[in-house]
Amino acid sequence: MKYFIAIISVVFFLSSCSKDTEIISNTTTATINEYAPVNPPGWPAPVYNFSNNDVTYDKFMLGRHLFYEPMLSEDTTIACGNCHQQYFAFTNGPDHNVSHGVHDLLGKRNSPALFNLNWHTLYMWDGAVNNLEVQVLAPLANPLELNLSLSNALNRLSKSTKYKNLFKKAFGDTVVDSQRFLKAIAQFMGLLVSYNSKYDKVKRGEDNFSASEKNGYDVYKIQCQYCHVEPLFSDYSFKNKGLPINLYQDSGRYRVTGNPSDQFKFKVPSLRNLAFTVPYMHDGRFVTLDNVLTFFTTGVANTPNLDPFMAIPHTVSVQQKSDLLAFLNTLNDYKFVTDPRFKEIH
Amino acid sequence: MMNKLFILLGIIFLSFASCHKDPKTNEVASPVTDPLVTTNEVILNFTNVADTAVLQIAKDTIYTAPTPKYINANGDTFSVTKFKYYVSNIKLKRLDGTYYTEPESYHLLNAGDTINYCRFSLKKVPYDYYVSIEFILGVDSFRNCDGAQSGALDPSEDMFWSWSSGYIFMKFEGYSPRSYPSNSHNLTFHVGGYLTPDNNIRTITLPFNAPYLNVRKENVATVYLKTNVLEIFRNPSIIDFFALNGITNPKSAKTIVANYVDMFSISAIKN
Repeated sequence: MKYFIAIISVVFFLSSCSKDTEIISNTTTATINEYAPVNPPGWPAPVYNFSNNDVTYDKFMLGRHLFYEPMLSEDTTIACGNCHQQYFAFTNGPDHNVSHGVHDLLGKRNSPALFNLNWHTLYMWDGAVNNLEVQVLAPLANPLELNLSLSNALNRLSKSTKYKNLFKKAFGDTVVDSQRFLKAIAQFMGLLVSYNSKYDKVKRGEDNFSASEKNGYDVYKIQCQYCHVEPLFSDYSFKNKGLPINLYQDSGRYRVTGNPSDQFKFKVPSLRNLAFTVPYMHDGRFVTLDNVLTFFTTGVANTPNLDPFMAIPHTVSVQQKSDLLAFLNTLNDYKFVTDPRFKEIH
Repeated sequence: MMNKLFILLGIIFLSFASCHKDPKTNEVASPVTDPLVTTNEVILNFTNVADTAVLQIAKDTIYTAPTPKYINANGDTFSVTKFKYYVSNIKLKRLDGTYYTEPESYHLLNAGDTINYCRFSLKKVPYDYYVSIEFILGVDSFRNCDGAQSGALDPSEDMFWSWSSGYIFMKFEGYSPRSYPSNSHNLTFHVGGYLTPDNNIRTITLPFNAPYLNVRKENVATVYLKTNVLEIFRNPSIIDFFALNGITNPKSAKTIVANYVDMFSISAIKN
């Protein structure tokens, strides 16, 4: 009931200051609720709050089509949705440690999972992108990913009858411009909110942890919570957790800031949906959670800017490890990865 | 009761949880709603030059480097294929020290633009005498992180970095026989950066000589400004194109930024 009222209030607020009231009022009440921004109770206020991007069903649907549109790559072979597949919590899937771009080119990093993006302060593993609305510009321009200029992308869309119609539905006329394009994709990405794991249900009083999961929660609080803060299971800060430096000599956030104190720092990923986001780490070097826990307990390398918390030895017993894995499994949101609103569409 | 509180909080968060706005860019424009205040247009006309010569933009061809036309302070010859920069947050200072602030003040000037040249107008400037003009060379920090923009700030203008979000304040590209980066003679100077410690946003202030800029009913005034590309490469640092022929990130832009802040001057005012 609380959600319902909260959602309605958000919709009411948005529609009250919206220029597109007509579009909203044309949509049924049920649809409005389903496609309104979600802000689960007890979560912090989102950083990206759609304040200049009123969410409507038609804009969201345009964004969804764009997300799955292979025309948005140089050779029209791949879309955002290729490296961000729903069933893998919008990562590339277990067989790709790094992303695959146009002409079979390989990127240098593992496609990050896309969910709860509104709570990130900066995007990408190294925080290169400062606003959800301009996120898509990075993979679009990257020669190892989609390799298409923004003006070429807009040009292709403006020649397509399908997109003329979709833009008209969303914005009232067939004009394709960068602002409409970017805001529509941001609506799709911003509605990818994962908050229906067993953990969430326990917190809402709808379910209970098993004994093992409960013990694992305690282990998490001691060993993981320092970076992977509830309820998002990340503080989205940039840290060097002591991974041995990889073949690409990837220096992480240093690439963006040029500050030596940022060398080898990467964004702390969320622990939600780990069952779907194999492989792990910014370069996909670990293929099981067991590998990851082994690294944290025995494999931390003393590289520059190693986080002080990681410099402390971390030990867990066999029992604690199995309990921790049981707890981490409560963070998987099956409803999210099968949600029909986010499915591939053409 | 809890529900109501939550709704209220939600609304408050929705209204306030956004990028902090730079208070300087948030100044209210002159009270144009006041019927006693009357206004006129002011034209700003930028002429891009290399000292005394009007700047010519050479055609960028893949096969042959354009013939060098200009000489920098180091004695290196060069040609220019692209010269674009942002002039934003324009303010005119009145005799009494108060300001006229142009609303939504973002202008992208492109020396290669043969349609509008580098000429635009401030639409509703109240009648008065103005003693100086102030503007940001670049884009204020708020708009650097405010998501998808339109108009002059449209990212399809090719003045937005996607590898590390933020506007390119000035893009200078060309050729010099003296420059030799990775098997070419390219010159590539892209200046941007809005974050400490590499904040390259600079405010330019140019005083007008008496009798100043006089905005009145009878005539549309024009301020003629000059943008001198040679200043980018001299004073205080003389740039040797062999040693420095490209910058594409905020951190390495410091020398160029220190140089280019004095590339603007007022050449005349027609009242």
